[in-house]
Amino acid sequence: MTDLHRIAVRVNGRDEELEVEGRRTLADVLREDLSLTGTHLACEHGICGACTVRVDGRAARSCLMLAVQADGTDVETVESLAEDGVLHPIQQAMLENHAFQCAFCAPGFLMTIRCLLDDNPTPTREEIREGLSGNLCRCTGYRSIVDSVEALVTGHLGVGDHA
Amino acid sequence: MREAIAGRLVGARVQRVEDPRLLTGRGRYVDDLTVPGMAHAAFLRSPYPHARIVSIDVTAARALPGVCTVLTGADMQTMTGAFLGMMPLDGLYDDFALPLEAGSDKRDSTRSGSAAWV
Amino acid sequence: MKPPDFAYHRPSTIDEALDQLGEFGGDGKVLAGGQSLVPLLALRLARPEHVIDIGRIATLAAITEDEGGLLIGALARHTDVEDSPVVRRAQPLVIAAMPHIGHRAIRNRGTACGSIVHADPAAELPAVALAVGAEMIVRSRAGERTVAAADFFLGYLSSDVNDDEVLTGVRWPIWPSSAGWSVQEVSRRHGDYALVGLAASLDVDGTGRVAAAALSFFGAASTPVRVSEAEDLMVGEPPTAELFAEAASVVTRSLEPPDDNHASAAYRAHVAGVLTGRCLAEARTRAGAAS
Repeated sequence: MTDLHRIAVRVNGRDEELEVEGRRTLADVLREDLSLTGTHLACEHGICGACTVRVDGRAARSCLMLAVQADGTDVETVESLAEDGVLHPIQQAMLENHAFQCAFCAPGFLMTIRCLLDDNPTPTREEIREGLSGNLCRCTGYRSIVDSVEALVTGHLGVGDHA
Repeated sequence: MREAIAGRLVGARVQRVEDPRLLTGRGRYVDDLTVPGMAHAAFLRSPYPHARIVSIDVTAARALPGVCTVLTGADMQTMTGAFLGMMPLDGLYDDFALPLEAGSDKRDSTRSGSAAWV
Repeated sequence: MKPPDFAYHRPSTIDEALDQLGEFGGDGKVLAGGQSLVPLLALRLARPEHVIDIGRIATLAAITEDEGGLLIGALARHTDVEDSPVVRRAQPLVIAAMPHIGHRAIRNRGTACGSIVHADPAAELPAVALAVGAEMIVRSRAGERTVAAADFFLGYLSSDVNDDEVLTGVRWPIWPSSAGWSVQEVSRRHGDYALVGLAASLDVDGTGRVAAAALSFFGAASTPVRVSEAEDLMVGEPPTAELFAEAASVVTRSLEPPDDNHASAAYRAHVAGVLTGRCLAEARTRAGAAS
């Protein structure tokens, strides 16, 4: 039995009309139906944060949302950050401070950071670590990521190692 | 020539050339790729943590539309050798060799070092 | 790791939802925030024939206060509760639990009532509900009933909501300003389910003695559990560290926590005692501070 539903979602500023099965997640619909493969799937049960997107202005794990739940919402993915080829300040900070290695986790981190800085534009290092604790990275050991956010927040882009 | 390159790179903060692409979500990780005629593999694992596989019937699954094939441990054994674990010592349970085919016994796998495929 | 097939329904009113639940019986699951149900669907541990999404029934999202107490509706997200000045004032113990619940992204979608009805023994809000004596409002086509927290949690992932019913809200008593509060837990990583945790309150009267105390543990049994022997021994006494230590040893002695591959029973019982001392000390500093 195919249980199809028409939904209307605003994705990265563009209004999309889609027909989706009830059981498909928002992550799968973004990746497959809209070819927005920037949002990544790793654990697919809400633990790793790689799938994090912004829904109606708030961070959400897209693997834990059915696409039908996104009907009528405003969804932003990592593809929304850069504009006309110019990196978003968060992306620029990650670039200049060598935040990532394989960068598979990066889109999830970037959207989480975007939402964290929405709520709190000047987090302390401890608040940054707390705010990012729901995103897993297998490569870096996290220090480079936290350093990059701290550099962005303090305005000291490109500063070298510190404890 | 060598000196010119060394002067530019050694001791310098060198940004990665791939970062602009990866940070904007334009990476091409394996799951992001689509090629013509591409199939998807899914693995069915036992829902029971401790159990003996008595039989596996894939008739209904094979008949579903869109299914190319269904492979069991028995099918795999005709195509590939077993994956030997790191320490196939007699009497030591080999983590890498887990029985998938009907009738195989976990105890047997420790003796032979491998019983089926992972 | 993809959800199995099901029929998706999106009722626009609670009555419509109840009609559908009544029709589908045990084959229907309610979807609110989805932060518990969707992983179960993805892992195929749940295979309902019907999913009834109550996410658009706006009346269920209310957070209101009246003389009857604080009402948190079924669709109030954890984040809405966490950021609510009404809840901050009326139920600081609920607020104290919030940072321990998953991560912000989970709290943006997950609902407080969803966590309570899901009844994971290691979850914080069921223990908070038990600590303060919250009341659950359960509705079916036949009508509405109220269940006290002490009667609501039946066992592992099991609460007193039948297949044709929906928890439409939880009513919380207004926090007495003389009482302090604390929620602490031990988990392997921040945001993981607790190995063991404690939601505690300590009410201190005008003479500086304990008027009442609640010690509500999560992760220590198949439901949240209070240790009334430890609570009662403190009543009428000055809230000293020695008194708290006495309560802590009663806790360690009384609890019979689970033994599993995350932690042994002995470890959990020991940690429960340690948390008792810490939470009571923290609660004491807050007694009289709520306004």
